[in-house]
Amino acid sequence: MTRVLRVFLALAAILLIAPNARGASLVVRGVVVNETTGVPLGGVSVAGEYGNYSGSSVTNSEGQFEIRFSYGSPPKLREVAIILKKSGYGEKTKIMQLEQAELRDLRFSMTQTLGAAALGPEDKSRLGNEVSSDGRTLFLLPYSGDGGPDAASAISLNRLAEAVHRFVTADFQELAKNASSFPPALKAPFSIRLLPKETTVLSDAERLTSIGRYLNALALAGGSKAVVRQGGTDKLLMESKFLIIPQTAGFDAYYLQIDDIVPMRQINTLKFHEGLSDYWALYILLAFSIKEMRDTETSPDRRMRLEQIRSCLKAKKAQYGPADKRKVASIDTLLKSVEAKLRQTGVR
Amino acid sequence: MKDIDLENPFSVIDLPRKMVEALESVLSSAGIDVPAIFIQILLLVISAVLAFVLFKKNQPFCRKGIVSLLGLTACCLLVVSILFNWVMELVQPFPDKVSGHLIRQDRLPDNPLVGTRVSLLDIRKNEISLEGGRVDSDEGYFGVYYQKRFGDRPYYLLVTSPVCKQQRIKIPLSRLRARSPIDVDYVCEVNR
Repeated sequence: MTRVLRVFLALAAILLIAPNARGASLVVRGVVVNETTGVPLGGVSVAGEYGNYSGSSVTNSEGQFEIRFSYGSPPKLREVAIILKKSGYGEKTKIMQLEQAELRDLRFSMTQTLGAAALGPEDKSRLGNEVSSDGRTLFLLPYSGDGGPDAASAISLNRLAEAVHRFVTADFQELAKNASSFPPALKAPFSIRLLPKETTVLSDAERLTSIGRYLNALALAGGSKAVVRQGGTDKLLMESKFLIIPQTAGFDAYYLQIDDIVPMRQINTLKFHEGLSDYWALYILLAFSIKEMRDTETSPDRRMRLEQIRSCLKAKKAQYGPADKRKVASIDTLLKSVEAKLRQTGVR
Repeated sequence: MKDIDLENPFSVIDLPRKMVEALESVLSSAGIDVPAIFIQILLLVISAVLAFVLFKKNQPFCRKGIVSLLGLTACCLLVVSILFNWVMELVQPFPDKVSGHLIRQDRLPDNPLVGTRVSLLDIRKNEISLEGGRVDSDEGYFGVYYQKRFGDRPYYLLVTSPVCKQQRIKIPLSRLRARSPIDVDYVCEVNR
């Protein structure tokens, strides 16, 4: 009888404990988007780790995923690691703090690496030391006409870099005075660096874009230069291609053209920069604005930063007259995009 | 493997504790793999007995040499240090989770934090982490839960990356006690 009683009591104890030992679950839901365009990404492999429990999922065409962790006893560590993988995109690991029973409405972004990935190991090893840590560098490629015996080749890229830097800095200072609010990103210093001759040729746009992305460049520029005689004076003629690297929705990397004609007697003076085309300042401003727009995507003070970009672009536009249609048009295109983003954030 | 020490190596106050830890490390490398608490108890007993013998021998103090007095002081310091650490651990227990950030100091184009993991090692360099260890590839944040044992603590943070050389970072006791994050300036040395 005593034995029967013991068995009965043991069974009763098991039944009492059983509901607590029954498995619980944690649900993690979210969406994965392209970092620069904001477009949802399908086919992303999403793996999750919750303590020693794991789960996985693949995003649908709308970038949505759901992972369900089933566990006996909850892990001690109240954190969930989410690992995102997709071909052509940089792998990402995010650690999410678990403050509630569920993790919902998570939003992850992935960066496209196809451009940089297209470079070979030799390129990467040659350019590795040049990578810009802050993305605020304009890289100059050697101009054709460099290294020859003529007068144009005697003008070094260093000299051009100095002149462009001085010109753009002066222009930004002027803009800062006229704009009602000015992005701090444009007040911070930027740099211009020269790339080795064997880097690439300008006509290979795809390779140039890959190099720009790998270098985390603001822009790349290069072209050709020659000395021509006009009106009895020798002038330096420079034709430059300018490639903006940062991307944001509606703005992929694209080529722009800059033509400079500077009297030769001005080249070796402190006034070299005064002879440069205003397009240098305009395009660098556009590049910074696109970079800033991209950087605001995840920023808590997005509205304020977008308004600063708008104010700055408007101040630049005000510098131009009716004859500068091309310049005004390029600013207007970007302004429309800024306005659209501001509408998304609910600001008029 | 690269070893990094975040502790102040010239802290005199920590000297007795460091002696105990060094002994634990030496015994472990000699193959004597016993829990830290046993070594501490053993050391406490030996030091206390030695201190008692020296104290008896030195009565009255003025008659005996300076060497014996120094020995007595050292033994007392060791005893006090071990007891102090035990009391501290009872009053202010270590957290069961170590968290912090790996702060990237490189300019590598490929993010070295991708796929990076951290784990906790005890003084015998045995892994004691139980859960977690993934590193947030954007923020560098990590959190690791480990099995607490009295008299023992996590001594090293082992950083393992698919592209960088393994690094072993010594966890400062002060930061562990204060439950403050272990933030490490992480310099990735690329595996060639």
